Amino acid sequence: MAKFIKYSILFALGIGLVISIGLMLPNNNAIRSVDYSIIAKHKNLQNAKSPKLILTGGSNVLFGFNSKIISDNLHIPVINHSIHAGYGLKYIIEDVIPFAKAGDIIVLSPEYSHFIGTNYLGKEPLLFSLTAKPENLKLISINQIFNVAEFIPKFSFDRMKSFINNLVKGSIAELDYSKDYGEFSINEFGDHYTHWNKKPTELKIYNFNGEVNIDVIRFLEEKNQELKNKGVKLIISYPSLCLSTYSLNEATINNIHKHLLSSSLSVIDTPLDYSFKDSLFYDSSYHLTGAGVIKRSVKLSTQLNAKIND
Amino acid sequence: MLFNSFEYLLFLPTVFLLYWFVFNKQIKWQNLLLLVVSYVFYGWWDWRFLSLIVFSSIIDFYCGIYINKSKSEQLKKRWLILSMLVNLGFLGVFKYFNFFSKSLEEALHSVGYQIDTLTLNIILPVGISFYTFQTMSYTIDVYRNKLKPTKDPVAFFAFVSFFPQLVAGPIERATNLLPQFYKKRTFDYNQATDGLRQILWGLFKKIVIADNCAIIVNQIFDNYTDYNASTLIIGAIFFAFQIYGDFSGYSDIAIGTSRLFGFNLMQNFAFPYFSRDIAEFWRRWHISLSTWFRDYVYIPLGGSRGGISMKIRNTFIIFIVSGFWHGANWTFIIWGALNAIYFLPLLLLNKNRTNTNVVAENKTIIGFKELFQVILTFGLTTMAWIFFRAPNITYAIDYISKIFNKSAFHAPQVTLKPFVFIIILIIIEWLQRDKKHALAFSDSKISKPLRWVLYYTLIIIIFWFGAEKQEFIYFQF
Repeated sequence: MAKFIKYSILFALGIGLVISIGLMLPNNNAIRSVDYSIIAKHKNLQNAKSPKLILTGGSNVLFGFNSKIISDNLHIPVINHSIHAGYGLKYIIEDVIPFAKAGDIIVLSPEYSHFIGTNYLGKEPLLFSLTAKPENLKLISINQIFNVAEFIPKFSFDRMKSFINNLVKGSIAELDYSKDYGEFSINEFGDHYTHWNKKPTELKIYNFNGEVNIDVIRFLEEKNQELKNKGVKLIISYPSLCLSTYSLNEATINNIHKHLLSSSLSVIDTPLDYSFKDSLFYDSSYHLTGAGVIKRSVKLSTQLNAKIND
Repeated sequence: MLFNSFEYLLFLPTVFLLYWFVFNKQIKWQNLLLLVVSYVFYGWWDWRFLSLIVFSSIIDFYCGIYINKSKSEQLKKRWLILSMLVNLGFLGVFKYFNFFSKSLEEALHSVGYQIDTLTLNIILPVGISFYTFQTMSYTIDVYRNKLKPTKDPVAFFAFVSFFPQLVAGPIERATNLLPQFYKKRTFDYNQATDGLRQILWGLFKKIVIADNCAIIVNQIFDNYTDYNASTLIIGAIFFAFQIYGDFSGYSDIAIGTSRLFGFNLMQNFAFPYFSRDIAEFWRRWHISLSTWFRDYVYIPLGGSRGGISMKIRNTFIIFIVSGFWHGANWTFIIWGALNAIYFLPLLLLNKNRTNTNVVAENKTIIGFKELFQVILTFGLTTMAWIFFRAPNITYAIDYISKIFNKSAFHAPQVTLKPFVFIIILIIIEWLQRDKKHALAFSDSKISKPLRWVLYYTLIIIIFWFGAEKQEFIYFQF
């Protein structure tokens, strides 16, 4: 038995070493991923004067707004803080809270999948964000560690693949700032803008049916209270979603809506308000095209105006 | 809890250490630990369905005792019927009720009657077909005096819920597994390391073969009308390897895990795609289910002892029931019937036991005749898999009809990357085809550094090329 345990530990250490090497490899991409835009977004949040409007959520927000339209309508600074739904709702909110000051408004548009299972604790993309902003490790709870731990080996090997690929192909020389999902694909407000004038690519339809995790609602209520204590208003707005995906998941969406309405949260609209026709979506059920971005930004401005003046 | 999950990565070593270092003093404590962790393992999906396993275990535990105690044959039979009713009743309600209800509605509708039948809004408990069959084997064997009933409820409950094979088999016989719960288990280094190798190969088959094939298979089967014939052929071949990698991979992990705890489970797959005819295929594919049906259905029906009509009847019954076991859908019934049609000529010509040895025995390279037989058998099996994978019969027939046209000679419209992994699988399994599993080798034959290089290479391949995690297909059965 002792021999078995000894060799098992040695073997596991070997695997751990290989995974650690992947985690420690430098990022040699010519343009780093959009995850790194968190650095610029934090700077914007730091510098913007209060009262300000912060748009946050997953990539439905990143790809969903032209913040200038909203800023011009509401006459306050607007910062789009969102990057990826896969970071999890918990991380997204806890990352933005330190930047919110009295008088600020946070409009949160969670993806519907955030309400299912443990998705609100984050998936593999959270590891990308932590690589871009290692200081954020302090925000991570045990539950989140447990939720993302299984992605660490794959994450490590993906980094190795990318590193070797870049070395072999020499992509360091390839600098294309018009590419989507890059660190520089965002404008000064934090909106992803390089796709605004591009034609839509193949639309991905999602099926996220499942039971609503009531812990997510409780978590949002807790954070709402915390923000209220700081003098910050939290408003929930539904994400943009293409009608095909909406139809496929209507029962779950209605269930989420029911739970949100019966909570103490302030919900500004209904799921159908932002369920647009498929042609307004760029490359996923949540990502709007340039035309879709304008439509949603104008609509949200109108609704916020009404809410603020209420 | 999935075998290919982070939770299981923590669960398995923890249980292993508790089993051999904390609960090792007495066998009853080890059994109790196995029972508790098996319930935790199962409850990870949905703890509510644990009640079904517990109820089924209680009924069969007492039925076993009362079958043995009963003096008259009639009374014995009554206890056996009770056990059957409870287990088949669970299956009937949770798995087949809606199917029969809908089928009745459709049948009446076709003759002009309009009725609204009752359908139940229930989900299928994971592994129900596996553990009910396992526990039924106990009461049947006690009834047949092949086994003495146990008076140790912990051992019996642990046997029914033994976590490595609880949700997707192998479907163990009480005569093989239950006595292992009575005997003192001692740790065997060679058995444990071989178990780990089997787990590693199972993970390779699941994560690299099955999950990579699944991506292409889903893409093709979801939009089959958009693809040319060669792509549809690729879709069917990839599905054949997906289901093999998925299910035999699960069995390898289950058997390997059991060996870490000193248990020996039966072999469930014996390199079935190297079979030279359908009879051989069915001796090598899902062995625990095929032999279950053989021993508890086919032989009691008279087996192949009677005349031609009896042979035909029994063959159809066993294959159709086996198909229906997989799921409440006509596609599984057709899949079973198709296999019966493949099998019958061999049975009627008395050629069903022609190929009982290993293909190309004592040779490295296969001969032309055997190669042709293997390809033909694989082709027939793959054709039947289309029914297994299709959502309905019309879909399957349309899919197959689209395969037979000129575009079968055009370039496929999907990536063929999974073929690289399939070739690795075929080479390794071919070289090891006379062994219990693909990584079964004596430590003395290969030096330790070379063995470790092999293990690390496989692990790197799993991480590097492994596709996104998918549930095991057989969980739905």
